[in-house]
This record gives sequence, structure tokens and C-alpha cells, in this order.
Amino acid sequence: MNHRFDRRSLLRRGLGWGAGVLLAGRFGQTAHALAAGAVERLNQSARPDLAVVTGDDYAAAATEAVRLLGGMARFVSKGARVAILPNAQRNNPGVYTSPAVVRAVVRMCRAAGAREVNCLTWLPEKNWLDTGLADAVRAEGAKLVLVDMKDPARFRPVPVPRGVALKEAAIMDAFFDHDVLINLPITKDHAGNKFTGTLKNLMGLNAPLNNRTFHRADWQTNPDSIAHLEQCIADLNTVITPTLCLVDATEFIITNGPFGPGELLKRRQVVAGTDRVAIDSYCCTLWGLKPGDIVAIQRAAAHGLGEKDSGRIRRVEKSL
Amino acid sequence: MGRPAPGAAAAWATVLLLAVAACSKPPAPAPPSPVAGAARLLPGAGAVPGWEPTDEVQRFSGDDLFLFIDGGADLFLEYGFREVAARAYRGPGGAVINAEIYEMTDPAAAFGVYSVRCGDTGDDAAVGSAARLADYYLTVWQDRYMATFTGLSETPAVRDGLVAIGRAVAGGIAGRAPAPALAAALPAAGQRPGSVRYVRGPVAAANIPLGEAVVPWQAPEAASARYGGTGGHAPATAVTLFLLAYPDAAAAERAFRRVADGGDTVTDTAGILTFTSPPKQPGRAECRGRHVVVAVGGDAAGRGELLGRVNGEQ
Repeated sequence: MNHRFDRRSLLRRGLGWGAGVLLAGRFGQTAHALAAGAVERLNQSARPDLAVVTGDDYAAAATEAVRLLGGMARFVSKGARVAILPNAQRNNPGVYTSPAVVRAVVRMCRAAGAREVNCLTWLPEKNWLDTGLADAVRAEGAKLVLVDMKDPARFRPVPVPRGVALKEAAIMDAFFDHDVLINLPITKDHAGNKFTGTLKNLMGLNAPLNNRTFHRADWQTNPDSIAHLEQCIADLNTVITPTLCLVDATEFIITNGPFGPGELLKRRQVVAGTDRVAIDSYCCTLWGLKPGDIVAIQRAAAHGLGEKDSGRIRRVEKSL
Repeated sequence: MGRPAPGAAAAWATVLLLAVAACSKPPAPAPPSPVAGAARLLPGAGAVPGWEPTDEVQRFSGDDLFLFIDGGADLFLEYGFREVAARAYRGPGGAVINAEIYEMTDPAAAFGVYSVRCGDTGDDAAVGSAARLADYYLTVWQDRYMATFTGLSETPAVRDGLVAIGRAVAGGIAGRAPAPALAAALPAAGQRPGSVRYVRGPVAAANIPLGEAVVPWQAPEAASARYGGTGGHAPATAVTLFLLAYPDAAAAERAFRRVADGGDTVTDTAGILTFTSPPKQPGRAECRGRHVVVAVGGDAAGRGELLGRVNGEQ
């Protein structure tokens, strides 16, 4: 296989796969419109696929990364309702998205004219308070939307028509009230699959009970069932398409993931883009992993969700 | 591909059975104790000078571990998990330490998760049966408990606090079971300090050095250590030795045959299997009674010498 990455055909296919979401709410419709406009502008200006900014001021790095992609106005239109999805798994060092990065993103969204910015989560409020992310979100005028993970009414069944292993997701109902999704993971080690980034972070929108079905009954003894988990992650990504991803690669654990404590690596980077496969393929190399060894990246690429070949990814890097 | 001569196989089995008589059958979880509970081990107010609890104790048991460490629960459940209790402490200058005590189903399970989570980071610390102190965190094993203490900052006061809280917790644990017999059966000479791992499934195996090499063997229990680079009895280049345990010799033989028939392997007339493991490391394995011994990495001489030494030392 040696196909040239074709953004227009990828977009068409992506929209087809996202039909479940498109039908389910106005999020998809708006995302469609935004993305179509974005393609036109990309063809004119050949913007990078990835923006990687290194610096000690993580808010400034996040802001510059988005600027290199064309600015937040490219992704957030005036009056848009924006959902953001940081990782607040635990307050151990290198485990949660930097509050400085989150603050910068909320600030950029509001400057672009967003009507509201909501941080969606089914994690308990304690996680957000302990990590400082609750303060960060609220200080910038955004809202922390806490969803009761045990209330099935707060999650909407969503068919996964292209799912190989996952046939139905259970997406947070509040998600469908938004026009834009900004995915804000921290990249780090993961006990099950070695790596977590943009693809896996979307499990934060899916009901925990549904996430548990990603484990087969024999996952403890059958190596193939580990791959099943990765396939489910890739499948989930076929029905949720973030408008923008910013990955916190400033300080993160490279052992004992995903909740730590573990060995900390301080790369001081923020990575931004729209192509989840390209972003994760880059981020895993930050601590010596190979995209070819990360099953979720391979399965997502097989779904056509993005480009895994670094030679075909236009990456711009900048140090502050 | 040849199989070992019956006489040779019987000799190997005899030697190994005698040698690893201490290696028990795969451990059965101990029955739950009515007074069990990791929460009772968390120091209360005034128990550790300078460090006071800041919130209520959080407790999660069984599959609810996913609610506490969603995405990280698999490793613990694979070993055999009973309960976790967690609490935060505030100390000098407002520094915070998170304490988490995991009660596993048996001491070997706790040792296993400890061995995997310690990795190669940090230095040994005099806390509990075994402990490792890294830059900002302390990991402790004693009996059926594995505990982590995490400082949210890196200062000398925090490191002192990690040890103080860790000792308070370890002091409340009555038992002091030894390391699993399978781990103790690994040759001591030339073994790299802190390199012993004990695993019970593919999740743990995937998280130890060269562990991918033994995932296809699907052993219910395995121990590993690294050898080399330390002189003395160590091979010239680093070799990782795995000792895999099955319920009986027939199960070990079936696993051996399955891997041998899996392709990209060669079995010589002495019954020694050579293969290339998933991370492209050369490997060598022998079936001995209910055990399989696997050496991965390094050079052929080092692997052969180490396998031979397993017999000699056992």
C-alpha cells in the first residue's frame, strides 16, 4: 500500500463514517461545515499537519501551536459552543493535562468568539479539583460539566457502522449540544497498550460501562484480546471526530501509565493538529516508541482516520 | 523440528523438580479475611509527625478499581486484586503526598505488581519487605500489600515524608511473606540488582523488559531477571532469563510444542528451541517438567551459559 494521502477523499470518507454522529446531533453538521471550509484554506496555504512548539511557558506554547495551524478562528466560529476534553485522571505528576494548556485553549476559544466553552467529564469533581483543572477552566469563564457516570440516561447509544470490534458506543449526551470538540489529552505511557494520546482520550466521552466492554472475558490470558481493546479505541474514533487536538507533551510519565507515579519525561512540547493518527504517531516517538508497534495507531490508520507515515506529514516545529 | 530424547527430557525434569521443589503450584488466592482492609493501614491524624491527612479515605474493591484507575486497573486485576485505599497528606510548606495501598489476593500477587511498577527507577529504601525510592515517589511491598506514595513536588522534605508515611503503613502490616518461590528460583549469581519481575499474565508481561518474548507462551506464572554487565558469573552481554511455570508437565509440553510449531523456530535434537522474539531478540528455550526456561537477548554463548547455569544452581 503506497497511497498518496488525499485530504479531500479522506474528508468525504470521514463524513460518511461519521453519519451516526451527524444524524445524532448538530455537532456533526457544524463540524462538517467547519472542516469543509478548512480544506479549502489548506489547499491554498499548505498549512502544516502538525505544529510542535517547545518552551517553558506551556500556555504560550499552546497558543503558538494553534497560531501555526492558522489560529483558533479556523476551528471555532463566532457563537460556537465548544466542548473541551482534557485528561484529569489523577493529580500525580505527568498524568493529567497541564492546566496552563487548558487555560490557553479556553482563552483562545473565547477570543475567537465562542458562545460558551464546556469541559465535559464523567470523572468525579475531586479529580478536577485535585489537578487544578477545575480552577483553570472556571478562571477562564468556561464551565465544568460533570456527568454522572452511573446514569445511563446521560449517555446516548451511537451505532458504530464501521466498527470491527465495537458496534455501539454510548456517548455522553451533553456532547451533542456542542458545535466543536477540542481534544486535550496528555501523551503518556499506558499499562495495556504502551501509549495513550488523542485516540484513546476519546474514551473520556464514552460511558465507562461501555468502555469496560472493550475488555473481552479472556483478556487476562489471550494476547489477541489485548489487541481487541485497541481495535475498540480505533472504532470509537470513527464516530467522534475532534475539530482540533492539542496534546500536552510537556511533562509526562513513561512508565506506570496511565495514572502513575512513574518515570517523568520533560519534553516541554505542545503538539497541535487535526489528524489523530499523525499526532499520535509523532508523540509516541517522543520516548522511543514506534508507531508501528502501537496497535491503536495501526488500526486507526486502517480505518483511514489519518496518516501514519511521518514522511507524508507536514510538521512545523518552533522553540520559544 | 526435533523433540528432546525421552531420556534427556526425563533427566531434565528430575533435576528441575528437585531444584525447584520450593516452587509451589500456581498460587491460589487466600480466602478473604473479615478484618482485611487496606484502609486500616492509612495513618490517621497525628500518626506521622509533620504530615496530616487532608481528606477522607477513598476505597474501591474488585472491578470498581476501574473507577479509581480507569485504564490502569487491568494490571492489578490480572494479578488478583482485592481492595485499594487512598488518602492525601499535607506536610511542611503545604507539600502534598498521595498514599495508595493496594491489597492483593496473596503476597505473590503483591510482589508481582510491585516488581513491575518499580521498574529500573530509584534506589532501594529500608521500608517494608522491599521498597524503591525514586525522584518523587516511593513504592513498597510487604505481604499481600503494594503501596505507592507520591509527592506532588520534589523536595528533601517530601522525600523524607514519603519514607515516614511508608514506614507507618508498613509497620501496620502483620505478615511478612517471602518473595514468590518462582522468583527465588532464578540464579542469583550475575543477576542485576532490582531486575527480578514476577508476572501472571500478558498485561504484566507486556510491561517488563523483553516481556513480549514470553507472551506467546501463555504461562499462568513466570519470573524473570536480567544478567550481564556486572562481571563475575554474568554473561558478557545482557540476557533476560524467564522461568515459566505451568500446572503440570503436560501443560508445559503443550505450550512448548505450540510455540515450536508457531513458525520461525528451530528445535534441535537436545530439545532446545531457538527463536526470534517479537522485539527481534534471539531466544532459546527448554522444557523441563512443568517449567519452561527461556533466555532472550545477548549472544548465543551467553544464553546457553545461563540456561546451563539454571540447571547447575538448581
